[in-house]
Amino acid sequence: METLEFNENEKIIEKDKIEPYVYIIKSGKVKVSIAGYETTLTDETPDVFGLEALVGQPYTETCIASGYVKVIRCEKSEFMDVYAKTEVGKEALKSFMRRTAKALGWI
Amino acid sequence: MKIEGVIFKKGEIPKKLFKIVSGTVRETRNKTYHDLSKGDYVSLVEYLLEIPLEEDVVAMEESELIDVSYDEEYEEIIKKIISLRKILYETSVDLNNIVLDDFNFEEANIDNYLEQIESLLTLSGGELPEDKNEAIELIESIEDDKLLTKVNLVKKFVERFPEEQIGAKFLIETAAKVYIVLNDKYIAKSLLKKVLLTYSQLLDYCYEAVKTLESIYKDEGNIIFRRYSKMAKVLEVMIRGNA
Repeated sequence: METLEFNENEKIIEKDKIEPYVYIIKSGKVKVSIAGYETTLTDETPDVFGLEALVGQPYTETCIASGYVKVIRCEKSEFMDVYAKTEVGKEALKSFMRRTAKALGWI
Repeated sequence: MKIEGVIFKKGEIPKKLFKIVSGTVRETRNKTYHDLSKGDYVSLVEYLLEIPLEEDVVAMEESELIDVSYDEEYEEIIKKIISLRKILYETSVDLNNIVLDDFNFEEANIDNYLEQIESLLTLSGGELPEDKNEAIELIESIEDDKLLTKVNLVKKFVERFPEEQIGAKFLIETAAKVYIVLNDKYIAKSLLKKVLLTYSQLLDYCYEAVKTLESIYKDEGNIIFRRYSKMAKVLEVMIRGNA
């Protein structure tokens, strides 16, 4: 688990790429785009992206730093052991679902 | 538990997460239903987001459900959400770069299907007159109980008189009747897609065809309707721009 820093417009994850990392926003904002739908994740919850790494699948969204951003980068086992059963894990799932439902026009 | 009928009621916020062991469960969002089967989660969106259901969620047949918790199913739920996103990408259309494939032509040559219908049912109902006005008169005179004959004649009319705008009108009207009277989605969709291929310069007719395609796909619970919904919006803007 390590903390990484990104500057404005730096790409953190890219759709269709397979990487073993899940990201938790420590500070700042991240722009997410999924099939034409765009939203911003923040450090309030804190928000998580890259959940696809937990099931070994390619990322389904592209995430770009909106300003200066600090993120915690975890590997699957680290996220599952430390966060999955906590509020962060639950909120991560909710946020992932919310972005999908919004992109589908369901909510 | 085994259940048939209503699982969650309209307006209810699901407090339990059920996974389907067997059977079929129907949920409805935006007036479009989605049938869930073995391995799917019932009302996953509403459960996770703690929001009320738009419509009743119903087991269409006797279905077996098990009560699960999100943390035990964490990775499986992620896989389900990813599969929804895959559908999302499959049904998205790049409006700046629409290709023929975006129209979902189930058959490479639409006419093949119509010809099969024609030969199978031998309902050709006579030849189309050579004279354009006589042909129009004949098509307009065919009653609803001879709809397949009308389909054949409209198809021939469009081939013989491709410059005649009334061909687009015939295709749309016949498609709507085929859908309503015969409930044949395939023929209806084929006729409507023929409008898009043959009369792509006639935006008003294309708009009408796309809107009808949108509602047919929506009725059958096929998420492809999203493509047509987007195309309709673009056509609407183009039509207004031309006005």
